[in-house]
Amino acid sequence: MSTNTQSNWQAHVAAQLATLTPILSKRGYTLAEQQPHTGGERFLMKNLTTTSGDKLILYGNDAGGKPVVIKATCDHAGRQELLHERQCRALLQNIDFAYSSFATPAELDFFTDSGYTITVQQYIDQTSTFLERPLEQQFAFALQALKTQASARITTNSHLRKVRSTFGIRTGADYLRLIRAFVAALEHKQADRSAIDTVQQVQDRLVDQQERIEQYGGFLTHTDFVPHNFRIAGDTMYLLDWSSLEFGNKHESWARFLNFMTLYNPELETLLITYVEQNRAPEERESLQLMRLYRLSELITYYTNTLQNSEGNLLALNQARVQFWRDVLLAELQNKRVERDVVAAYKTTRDQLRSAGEKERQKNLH
Amino acid sequence: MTVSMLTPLFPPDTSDSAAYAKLLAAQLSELPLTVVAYGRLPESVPSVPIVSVDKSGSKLLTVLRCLLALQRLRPTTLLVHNGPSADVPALLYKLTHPRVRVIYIESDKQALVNKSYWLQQQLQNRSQAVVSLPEHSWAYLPAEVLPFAAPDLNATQAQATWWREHVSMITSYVH
Repeated sequence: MSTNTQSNWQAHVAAQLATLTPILSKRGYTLAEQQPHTGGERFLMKNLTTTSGDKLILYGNDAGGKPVVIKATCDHAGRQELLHERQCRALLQNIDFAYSSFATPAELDFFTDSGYTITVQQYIDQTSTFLERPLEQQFAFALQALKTQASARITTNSHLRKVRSTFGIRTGADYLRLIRAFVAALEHKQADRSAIDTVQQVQDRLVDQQERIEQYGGFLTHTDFVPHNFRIAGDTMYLLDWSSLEFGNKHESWARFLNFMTLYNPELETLLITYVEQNRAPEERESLQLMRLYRLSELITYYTNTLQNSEGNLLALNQARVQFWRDVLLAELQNKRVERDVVAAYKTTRDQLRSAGEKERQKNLH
Repeated sequence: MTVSMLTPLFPPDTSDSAAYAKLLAAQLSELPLTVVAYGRLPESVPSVPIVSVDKSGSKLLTVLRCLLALQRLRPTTLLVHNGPSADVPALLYKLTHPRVRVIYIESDKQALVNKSYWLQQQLQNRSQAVVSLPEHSWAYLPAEVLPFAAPDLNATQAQATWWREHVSMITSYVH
């Protein structure tokens, strides 16, 4: 199954690059030889809770030799995603109920040709990735970006009217619907009983505390707020993937970020949790915890879904991922952080099982 | 004596005005105070009841809901944070209850330069006091506790003094 899925993806990428190269060339763009975002485990990636299309993210240069990022798709959902990202970008610069705004790479070109929709964006050169920076800088950049998101909140009908046709909007009821869908998906995939039971516990917790989730609803939030969607140049952090912006619980992006840092930088995770506990209302801390539980359940469901398309080392790795994120979830259900030796053991397993292509894709990603 | 504080912004809303309104409510918790805040699920303040006014409907409906809330509370002193959504019901309440003492607080500087200038003037003319806040919010909002920054004890001290005087001034108008 996996071999088919992976080889189909590789053939698909090769065919698309063959078609795209002359189309881009006509407009003065050339593609880089190495395209890290088409390799490794990219073929398995499909968002669980947002609609994402089939698109390629490519590196290239414009006619003057300047590096650019090219997103191209001939898929209907992919086209919708690119258009959606564009609309989000335009609207966010203009909404009158946000107190501050994001930096984003400039759009240099947007065109359609031979059934392809193509957007070309400024490549933000950075001297080091987010995780390579000192902890103090990581904390400052992350906090600033999280505050910027929280500065936009829908509080009236007129706010809602302005954004609802462009942005996804998640209410407390939507989070409950999604967590129920995770439980159903795990049961359908005949996941390990312990994983189903753990996510079921999260569902019960979220049902009990729906009001707390709603209390912090209506905020702008980036559902994939992790370092591979950041580029830092000078004092500015650019946020990528604007199609992942939506209005929902304020702590959805916090939760995604903290869960990521459980694995990549537990010290930063601790600092941010301490920040919330020292500076925000106790209700906020509860809301953050609920969102972490929700996003961890999403991760477990995501990796369970990948099992059917995996074999060999990748299957073993995805099984280890399900187990690891369940361990994290079990700790978080008690408002504790997972033991560091559990994280270290998982990282060792992961590094042994990752393919060379995926290791290449991960370089300088975070 | 009953005191109500009507505010367009209150946490979880994120703005200096919202943060100030919550701090002020906490500072005035010894008064028989009720906060009337827009939004469905405001954050709590120990010992201070909060009445939330839903603003998801039309503006007219929102004003009526707010007026109804004030009517039920029957405050003898009404603290009003500026902003069109508070100015209108507060003015109507004052017109129908002339004995209520209004203290107008200019906490939302952005709203001060917008829209309801005439309404602001009408309400301010009928207020016992108009309270302005310092130009910079760092003068009255506590600095965040951050991991890589030492606390500024002088600033903390200055804020404590400011709040003591501020609360004393506001309570002097309450009856």
